[in-house]
Amino acid sequence: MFITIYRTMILYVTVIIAVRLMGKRQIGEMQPGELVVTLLISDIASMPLQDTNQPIILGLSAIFTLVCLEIITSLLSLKSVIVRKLLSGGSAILIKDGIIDQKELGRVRMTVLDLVEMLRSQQVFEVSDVSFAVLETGGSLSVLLKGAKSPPTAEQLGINFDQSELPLPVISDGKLLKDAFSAIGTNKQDIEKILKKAKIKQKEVFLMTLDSSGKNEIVRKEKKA
Amino acid sequence: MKRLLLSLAIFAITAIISMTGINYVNSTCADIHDLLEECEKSALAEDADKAEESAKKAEKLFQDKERTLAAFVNHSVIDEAGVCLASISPLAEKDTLPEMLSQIAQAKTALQHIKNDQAFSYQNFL
Repeated sequence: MFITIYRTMILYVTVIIAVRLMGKRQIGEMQPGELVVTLLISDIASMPLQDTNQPIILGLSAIFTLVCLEIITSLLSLKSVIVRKLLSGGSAILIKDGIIDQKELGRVRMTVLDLVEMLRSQQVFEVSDVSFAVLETGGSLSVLLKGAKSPPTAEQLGINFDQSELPLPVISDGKLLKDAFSAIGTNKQDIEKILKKAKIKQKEVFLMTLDSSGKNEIVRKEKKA
Repeated sequence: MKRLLLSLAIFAITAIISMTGINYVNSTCADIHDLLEECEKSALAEDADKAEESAKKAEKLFQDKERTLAAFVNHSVIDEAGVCLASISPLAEKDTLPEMLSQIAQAKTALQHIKNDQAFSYQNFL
């Protein structure tokens, strides 16, 4: 029992390190190679957990070998178009000027119903409204609507509004989040001044957001009943 | 680049540990194998005392190294070898020498299994 707990902890930390080493891309939309590595890691990590007769080092070495291979192949993909095409394939144009490319649809082994479903998930209900629809290597569909069907932008409508700043959390659950300070050009003293003005102590703040223009929002902690 | 270097460093450490493990397994198995050879020779010469002494030495050596071996080799394979080695010395009597020889052969096979488990051989790669 303790062996399983100890092994689970080691493999949990190892898999987290492995995923962090592979980068954020791994967590979002995955390329075919990344999907394979993720599936293999989950399977390999479970082997020494299920069978305590297996030395844990075998699982660890397998995981790190996979991570190294993944990082090396992703670097090669960055440098070489051929490697990228081999590992990830290419994107496919499925709709051009409102006409479905049936040959391409067959090549990517996708039914027209799948395509329509993916269009609907992008709020597109008419194939004829689409100027271009591209199936990306990660499996998502990028859609460019025809000019007349595209929603107008503020610029096209001639509306002027102030450029909004990005508010970042600077206090969470009473604790200062110093990582955001440099991004919004602030410091601890500025935060303290704002808190003093708002007549609230730092430990009473549940969430405080601040943007580079100084605009802030403070959410108080709820008092315990 | 930082990630590549970090992962290569981890990979290198893993490879070094694995190579060290393979060398440790091979040298331990070779040492025990030599003691079993000695034991076999004594048994064939019907020298029960010397055979028992060698068998006990082999058993002791295996027990000392068993824990470290378990870090690199499947534990069930180690258990199998341990059982075989432990059953040799009680057979070191004139009447049971043939049985002892058969047990020594079994222990040698078990040791070979341990070595084969991590060996760089095409059978393991396929």
